[in-house]
Amino acid sequence: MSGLLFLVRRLGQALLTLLGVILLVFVLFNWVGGDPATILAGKMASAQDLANVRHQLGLDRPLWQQFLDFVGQVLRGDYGESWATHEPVSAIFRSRLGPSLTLLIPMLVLETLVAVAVALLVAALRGSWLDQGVRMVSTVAMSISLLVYIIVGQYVFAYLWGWFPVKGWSDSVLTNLRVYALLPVLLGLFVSVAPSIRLYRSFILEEIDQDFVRTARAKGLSEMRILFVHVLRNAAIPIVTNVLMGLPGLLTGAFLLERFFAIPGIGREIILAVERSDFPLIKAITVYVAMATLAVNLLGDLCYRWLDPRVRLE
Amino acid sequence: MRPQPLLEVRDLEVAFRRTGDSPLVVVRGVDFTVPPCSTVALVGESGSGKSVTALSILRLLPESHAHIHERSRILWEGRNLLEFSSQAMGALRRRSLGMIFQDPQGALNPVFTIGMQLGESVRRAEGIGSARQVRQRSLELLAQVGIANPAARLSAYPHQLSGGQQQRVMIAMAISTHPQLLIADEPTTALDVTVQRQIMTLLRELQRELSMAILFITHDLALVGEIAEEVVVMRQGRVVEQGRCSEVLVAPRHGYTRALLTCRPTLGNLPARLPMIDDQGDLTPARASSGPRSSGPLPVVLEVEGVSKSFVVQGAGWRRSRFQALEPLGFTLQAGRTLGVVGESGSGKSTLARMVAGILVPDTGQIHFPGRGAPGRSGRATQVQMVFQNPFASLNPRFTVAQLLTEPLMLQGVGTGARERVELAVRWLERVGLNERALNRYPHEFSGGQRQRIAIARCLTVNPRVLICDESVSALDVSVQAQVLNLLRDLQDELNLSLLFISHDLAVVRFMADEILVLYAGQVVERGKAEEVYARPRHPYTQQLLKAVPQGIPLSAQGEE
Amino acid sequence: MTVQIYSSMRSENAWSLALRRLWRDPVGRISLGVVVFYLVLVGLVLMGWLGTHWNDPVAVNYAPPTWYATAANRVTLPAEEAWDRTQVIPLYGWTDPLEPIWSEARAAAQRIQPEPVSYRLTLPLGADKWGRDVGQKVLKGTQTSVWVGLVAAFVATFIGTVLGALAGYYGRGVDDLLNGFYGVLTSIPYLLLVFAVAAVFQQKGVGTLILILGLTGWTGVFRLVRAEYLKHRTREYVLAAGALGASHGRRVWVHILPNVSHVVLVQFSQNLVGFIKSEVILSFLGFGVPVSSVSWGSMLNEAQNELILGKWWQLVVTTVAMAIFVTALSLLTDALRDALDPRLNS
Repeated sequence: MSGLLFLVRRLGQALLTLLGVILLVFVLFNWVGGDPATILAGKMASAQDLANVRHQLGLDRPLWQQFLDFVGQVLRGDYGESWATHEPVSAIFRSRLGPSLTLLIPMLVLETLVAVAVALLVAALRGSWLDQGVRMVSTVAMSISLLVYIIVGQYVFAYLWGWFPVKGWSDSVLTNLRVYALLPVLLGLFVSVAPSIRLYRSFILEEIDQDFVRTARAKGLSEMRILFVHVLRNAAIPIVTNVLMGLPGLLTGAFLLERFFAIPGIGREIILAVERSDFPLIKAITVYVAMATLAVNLLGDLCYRWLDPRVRLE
Repeated sequence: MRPQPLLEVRDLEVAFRRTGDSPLVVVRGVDFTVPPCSTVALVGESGSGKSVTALSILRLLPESHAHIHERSRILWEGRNLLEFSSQAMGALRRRSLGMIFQDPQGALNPVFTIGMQLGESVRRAEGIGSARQVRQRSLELLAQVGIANPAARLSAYPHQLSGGQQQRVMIAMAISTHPQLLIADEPTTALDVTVQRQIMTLLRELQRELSMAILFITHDLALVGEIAEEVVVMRQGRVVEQGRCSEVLVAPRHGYTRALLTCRPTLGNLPARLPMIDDQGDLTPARASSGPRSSGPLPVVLEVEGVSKSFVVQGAGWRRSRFQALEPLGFTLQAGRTLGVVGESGSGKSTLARMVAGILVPDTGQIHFPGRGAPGRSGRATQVQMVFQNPFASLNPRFTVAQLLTEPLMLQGVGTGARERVELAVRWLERVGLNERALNRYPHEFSGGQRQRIAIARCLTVNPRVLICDESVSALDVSVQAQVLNLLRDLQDELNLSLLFISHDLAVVRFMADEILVLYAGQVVERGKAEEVYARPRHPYTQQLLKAVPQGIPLSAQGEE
Repeated sequence: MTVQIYSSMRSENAWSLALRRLWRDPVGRISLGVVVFYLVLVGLVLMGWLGTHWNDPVAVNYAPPTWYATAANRVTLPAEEAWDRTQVIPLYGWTDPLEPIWSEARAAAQRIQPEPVSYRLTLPLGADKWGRDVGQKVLKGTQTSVWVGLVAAFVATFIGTVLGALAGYYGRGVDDLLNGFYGVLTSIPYLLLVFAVAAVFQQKGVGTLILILGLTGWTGVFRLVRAEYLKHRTREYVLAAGALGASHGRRVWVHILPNVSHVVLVQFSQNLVGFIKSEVILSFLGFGVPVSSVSWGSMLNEAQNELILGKWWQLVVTTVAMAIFVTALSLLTDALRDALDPRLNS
């Protein structure tokens, strides 16, 4: 299969999906959301005030024109001003990206390492007390709301024992990583690792039950080689794809962490924006995150095709 | 005294653990020996425990599920390998044992190249380290198993090879260790008959060259004669008969062995009805042919004219290629007659069946059912019905037998009420050898043969004139196959049914068909009266196909080849 | 030539077989019991037989949890003071827009001769900031959270199943369209999508919450049901039904649906778990249930501030109530998946 053609085709698909996202966001905020002028102009506004606000926002124009306007905004990367703070929305987004990534990247790396290691261990010892124990503990752990972990973690480790600062952020990435992001990352890891272990365990077990593992045993290979070479290389295909595709999911876990630890990232921003009904900001963040998701998905698809010779591109 | 056997299996008993249930004993009291440099065949139908026995020898059964009884012994050159440490077992597998499996596609790791997987075996077996030496030895092995252009194949992935080539690679891996014993578990079952022939020949040659012993596991007694000196016949986890091939295959003592030998149709032997085994393993003898059926002018019930079909294959980008599954072809089928369609995988025979059944729409050409009114979409159902290959898949598992049989009646508006339809259903059930106690049961409660009977009854409820059988007996054990084939014959005589009988199995087609159509890669390569095509095949492909059919003649009786 | 040996076993369909298999598994049995217990509780609260007094101040502020309450476990406050306790928001000099209503209510209260009210000093599960019984609250909160989850899971499973069936069975244009829509929804991370929709719906309430979760949460069901239909539409039993004259609609809903229903059921309970967790987050952030109601999320919200003061009981009670239900539900889902696995059916 030709690699370039595939890439072009997938890019086309991604763009089409992005158009769909834009349409969805538009329909939600400009149509389902009703008249934002009432939110914006305040409860005591007169009819004239409302009309003014509507005109200012271009809401008195036909819907299709408003839609084209929005598409233009997306293309230019300029979503206008926040209704709450009157800063340019794209500037807000840019400044919030750094802190979010400072949280996300260490979380992703640690989570993958821990989850794959534990999953390999419990899959190799399938049915043992360790496997049963990890399964039981992770089932119970997953059933407690992540809010509880954050609340209790912050209270115990930061407030009560003072091991970490309760909240805060600095301008230096290193200080952030060393001091402020530490507890949030650990809590985020703790919250997200249990479902990953379960998932990766099932991926590995799926491969362990395949016929080629029996062949490898018949060849007299050591269990270690079977597990780490034959099984892991096959299981790596869904795992790598899943890590990439799971990135947006981690993002949402970070939403709450940012809010609790007062980290000025995208998650805290979006919660604030929903509280303030700051439509331009929500729209912009949704579109940006969707773009990132689509890009990551594309990357995941390419990785998958690179890892699996059965569907490999030339 | 005979020399010390290479392998001795003594009183083998294997049980599978079941959650919340008592263990299920699948192999019980199995005894046999494999002398050095000889071939022993382990024969049995599904559920006979033959594969479990093979896996126990290599200790490849999952220990969490399977339990080998403490009393059982498997002696390798006199030492009980059930007591080997896992290191010692690993060393034995690396040096002295090789195994090949039924499904070569699954048995090879899909993400590694042939060179890597073969090299892995070579490195361990020979204790050689240098990449050049490993590569050299790998090339030798590939050439030895008859793979053309071995250097290019080393960097190929398993999915880039055909099934036959994959099995050759598996064999290369197995013999890389210079094994004293090669265990071959149904090595040709997943392959076409011509490829099967090649693999069998290869195994025989390798055995002679490498002077190794082979434990050959199969369900097909006809294959046994081609390769083995000794045979062990298993049924329901027990050995029913064992001995030298020349004796067992020629003069079987046990009824079950006799049945296995005779209830499979062969090219030479054409009774009107096949002999059958009942549940006690006793044999119902064959009925002799009642002479050729009348071949006067009969009304035509199916006319196929210039029918062809291609499929779109989704490639990369926007490219889509078309794959021509079937070139234009035509034929007619007369009332009460059988047209046999023979072909290997990819020949387009199933595509043809599905077009006649109305499941696929042909690209070109027309299909007529002369004699009755213009068939609409549901009108088609009363003209032609189809019995599918897999009786486990063709019956809706969530329907009771009553629902399965009354649904077509309801859809075709036969019968006035539920009660009348159920009565009709019972009549058809009885006709195929079941009874009304089956009505409220679900398909999973029946055996494969019983399910296929239900499937046939369901087709007949709408009174079709043409019945398509697409590999309808291929998934069944030999003994059950005979019952279903006999049933089809009985029904044909009684209802004046016309059959379109499709199979890869030439012997079965020979038993059923009056006329033959041979398909190869979507084209008709030969057609004619069955006895003529089989006696004097004109097309080279047909000749090759016929030659590849296992004859079931013991080695000793074959003489030197 | 009848060749029958029937088992003496009573004939069973796949569902009762699965149920029996579930019952044989102790984990399945216990988790099923717990889930049914919760559902009965939810039913009783819905009927108004339990948890109706969750909003009544029955104890002193932050009454600690004690199981050995004595007869003297009460304090009586004068009526006036009791009334004042309802004025909870300090107004810092602003005029309360609701003042007229308040005065009216006060006047009414005067008219009916307030009596001294007695408050409990301890409660089995403690009291919150306003002296409300945490036990009552958790009953009502459980009802809200589980009910929202249940109804939303019904909505999402229904949408996902119908669309997935159509996309998977018909393929081509239908599939392209629906799969495109799926692609759009899944390219926005779930929680962000929920936030965005929550921001759009100005009206808070249980109905809105159900709508938000149900309309955004069907994608998982869609994906799996579509995959199942893709697989089943070429299965021989479906082809056979077609050859026998069954219409497409009949094949989709009568023939295939029962064969993929196990996937739907497992997805339903997975959705239920997911939706309960989402509801908790939404309500915690104040985008979920209104103040006039209570759910596990809003309880956690209150509990967060109480924890700083060392009042841990509302947090613990809510967490335990939720953990028991969700654990049981997850285990039941796993057990169901095993019990319904068609590979084990034959």
